[in-house]
Amino acid sequence: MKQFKKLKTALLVASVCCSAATMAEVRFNGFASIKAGVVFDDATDLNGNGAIDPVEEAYFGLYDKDLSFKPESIFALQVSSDLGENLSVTAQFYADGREDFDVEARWAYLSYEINDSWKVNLGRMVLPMFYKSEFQKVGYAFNGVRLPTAVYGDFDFAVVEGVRVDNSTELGDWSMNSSFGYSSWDGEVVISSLGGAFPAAFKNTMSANTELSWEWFTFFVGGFIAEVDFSAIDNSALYPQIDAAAGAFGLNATEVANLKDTVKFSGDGQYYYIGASIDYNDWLLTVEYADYGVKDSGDSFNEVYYVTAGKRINEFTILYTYEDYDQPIDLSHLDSFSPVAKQVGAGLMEALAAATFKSQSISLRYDFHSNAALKADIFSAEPLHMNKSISGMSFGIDLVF
Amino acid sequence: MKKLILLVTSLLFCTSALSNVAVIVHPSNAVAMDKKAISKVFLGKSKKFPGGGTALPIDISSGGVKAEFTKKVLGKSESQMKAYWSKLLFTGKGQAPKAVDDDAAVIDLISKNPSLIGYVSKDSVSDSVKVVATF
Repeated sequence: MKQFKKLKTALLVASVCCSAATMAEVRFNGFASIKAGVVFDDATDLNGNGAIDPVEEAYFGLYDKDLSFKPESIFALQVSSDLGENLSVTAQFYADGREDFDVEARWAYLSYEINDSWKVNLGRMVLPMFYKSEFQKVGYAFNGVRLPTAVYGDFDFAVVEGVRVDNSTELGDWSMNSSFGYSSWDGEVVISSLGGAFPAAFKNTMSANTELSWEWFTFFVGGFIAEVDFSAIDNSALYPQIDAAAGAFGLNATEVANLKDTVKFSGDGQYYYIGASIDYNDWLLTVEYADYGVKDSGDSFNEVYYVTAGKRINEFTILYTYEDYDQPIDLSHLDSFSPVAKQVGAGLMEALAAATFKSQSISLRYDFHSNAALKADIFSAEPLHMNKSISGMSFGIDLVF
Repeated sequence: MKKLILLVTSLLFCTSALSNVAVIVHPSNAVAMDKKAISKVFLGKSKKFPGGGTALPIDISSGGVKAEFTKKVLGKSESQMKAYWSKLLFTGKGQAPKAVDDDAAVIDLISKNPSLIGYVSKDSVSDSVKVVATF
């Protein structure tokens, strides 16, 4: 579930931008990251089944033993134009090393400011899945080399089309920023444990997020629900395995139907996050916990969190991060099944479980230039339930312009 | 030794006298603002003056007075501010205040528009604007 790959879509914005350019002043902004990393260990047979599975490769994720500048290098250019009368148009073109630097419009939207408190955005946007998801790729905006991957993985359904309404409210010394969204997504997901890409869709996605801040303290909470259509995964990957198991273990038709209904991936997606952060006298602390999955499905809920603590010393920021990605397998909805059917269902769910891990890292940021920061980190990840750790390092530059 | 102390003292005095920051508004604006209220406007958290009325902040592109204002009033470094605005700019949630080149440009704009608020070096202040606070 975690290792979703990519989605390529046509750009809808080129024409919007071109026409805007002739009407009003066009603003260009951008950001870039040039980063390199290396993992000190070879991909190994962690679970001892005699082969290096896709899940095991996933642990080594972005980097391998050869230093690479590609996976975390990014170039983005934002074009925006104020059309007057509170209307503006923005597009963000984005070339990600992970996607072979193919240019994609990650953002392309119209904004209308209703008043000082309310704004409506319409178009293509990043789904505020977790607290920092919307600026997950803007390296300059955060202190670490990357946001903790236990929470901020690459999700194929991260870029959606729809509407987002933003509100900002002052409550005495507190300020509250909220957004409410309705969106949809369709594309392809890659599930490493199934070794392939599948068409998928998130329909009627409704999100709500809020951030409450006071001087040095911020509290945040949010989430979304969606109708998750993973029927291609169900039909072409899960059901055939159940049918095959049915033959081998002699399950009857009712049991097969019930089993399919229970371990299917499609269903009601529920994603939530909650956390807080402190930035006091240059001491930094952030905690975020998220819980997400598809209700009553074969894919158990993911429980992820991270804690970062750090200190800013003049132009330097040192940060320690502990992160944890867990997916406790919940077999409770198989309780009413016969022992054999239960065994088949449990086997499937365990095989489909995500590559869980915990990880620690220490990173250093150096603001050496007014528009650029130099960063470096060392990290060590330990896949859960396996006696093995993987360590590595990365470094690079984040800049904004 | 005495001379040295005198020199150091006068240098310190000189520096602080030159770099004092004055937060300014249009002379017709009767608003009273403390550090917190000014900070909210410059961080985009508040779009109104405490008594009502639209508040539009004007920034300075670079220089000593900008660094001092950012540190003393906003409590952040310029890099932190850049990171703060990057977060908002690239997610469609806000834009950094418009920035002009120098004190004279800030004073010129503010003297013509009661909705604006800005900051300049204390020595640059003229009669065409009103000081609401100094830092």
